[in-house]
Amino acid sequence: MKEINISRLMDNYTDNEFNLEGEAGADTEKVLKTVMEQVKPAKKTKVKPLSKVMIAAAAAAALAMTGTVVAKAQFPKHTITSATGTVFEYEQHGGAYGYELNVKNEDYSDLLTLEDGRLYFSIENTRIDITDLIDRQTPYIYSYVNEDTGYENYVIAGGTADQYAVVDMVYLEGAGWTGAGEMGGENGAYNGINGRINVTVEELENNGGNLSIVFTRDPGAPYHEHLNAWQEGAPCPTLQPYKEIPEQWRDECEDAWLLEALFRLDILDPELIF
Amino acid sequence: MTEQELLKALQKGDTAALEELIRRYTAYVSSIIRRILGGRTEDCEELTSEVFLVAWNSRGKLQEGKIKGFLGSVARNKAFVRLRGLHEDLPLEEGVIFIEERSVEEAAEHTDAAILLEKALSQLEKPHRELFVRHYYYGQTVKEAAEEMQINLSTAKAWLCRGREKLKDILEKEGYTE
Repeated sequence: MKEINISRLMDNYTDNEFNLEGEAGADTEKVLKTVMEQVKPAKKTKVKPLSKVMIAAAAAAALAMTGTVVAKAQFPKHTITSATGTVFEYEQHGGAYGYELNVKNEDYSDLLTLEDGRLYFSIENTRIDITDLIDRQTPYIYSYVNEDTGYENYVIAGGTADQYAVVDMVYLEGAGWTGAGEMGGENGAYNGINGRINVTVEELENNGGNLSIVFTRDPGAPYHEHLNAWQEGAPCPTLQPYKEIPEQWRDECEDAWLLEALFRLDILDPELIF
Repeated sequence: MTEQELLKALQKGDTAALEELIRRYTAYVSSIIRRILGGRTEDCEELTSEVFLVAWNSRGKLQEGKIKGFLGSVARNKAFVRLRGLHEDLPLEEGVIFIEERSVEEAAEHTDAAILLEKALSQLEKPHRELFVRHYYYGQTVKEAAEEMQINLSTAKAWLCRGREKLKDILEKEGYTE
């Protein structure tokens, strides 16, 4: 027979039903002072929501192949390192393209790992079992202030043990949000190699902006095979206007969790996607 | 500010939202810690502050409708960790249960404690579940809980007994392994 201490077992429980109130044991002003002294505010506020966002799957495919995204603003060369160690370099490119982006040092192999059916998220000396915190519609969002830019950036994870993914989202001053990531699990890999993810949310002064999310199972596949990969299963926002997708299908999309995160973080406005 | 607005502002890193969170929930959080730690006022303030720092650092995973539960869970666990560190514990009604040990091979696929607890508690009638949570989760004495729920003490003890039996049953059936 094994002895189970009920109180210790209840450490694993969260009560969202009864929320038992009682006599307060601390002074609010004292707690406020203590906490606020230890909290470092973000140096700058994040980009305002885009005025207009459109889906550009074909353009996204081309961008994913070349590693290049375009925008209209003028700015010098920047090197930004994310919390995962990925380096985002972008510089003015001239001509029809506003800037060129190169993503280096991508290594997401230890960021989200599957161990005995559980998904562990590890970053900056933190390791957390997020298996029950995520699914196809629900993201896990890790926030931090990027030391190179002062903007709050995010590492977003989602999916299931069969197909999980993590995306490293950084804000590039004058360009918008960009993300790089990896997809793993039985359905997220091709021939044992994890799939890749590219995300761009561009700010364009006249057009509002572009959103592209590309899930690529086979990094070496030619362009049409990328498209085929996206078309598996239900239609997804990467292929058609979000508002035209029947609601019951939206949640089935492999990137539904990522869209949910982008909506939740005000990086995208779901009402403005057309 | 609605909870949805508060959540969005927190997830954007807005410290004004953190202030609002503290103003809104300090009484709730500190009452949980106070109940478990008793009269240790300094400990109570320190742990209450720590709870909000945890919430701030975990703001990305906060979910709408579950903020209070999250804060309560962190508060409850921090208080118990502090109490156990002092080699003390709350006098709980039959605080342990004994279950049949099963080999790993025999264990069912889902032996996660949180899932099994949810499963066991969801099978209790709501008043029974409330009493179980009041006593074993929040550390309220059986007498206090019975008074607040307006039931007599012997009924409360019988309900807790039923809750423990259900929990034991689920843990054994699912092959819980720590």
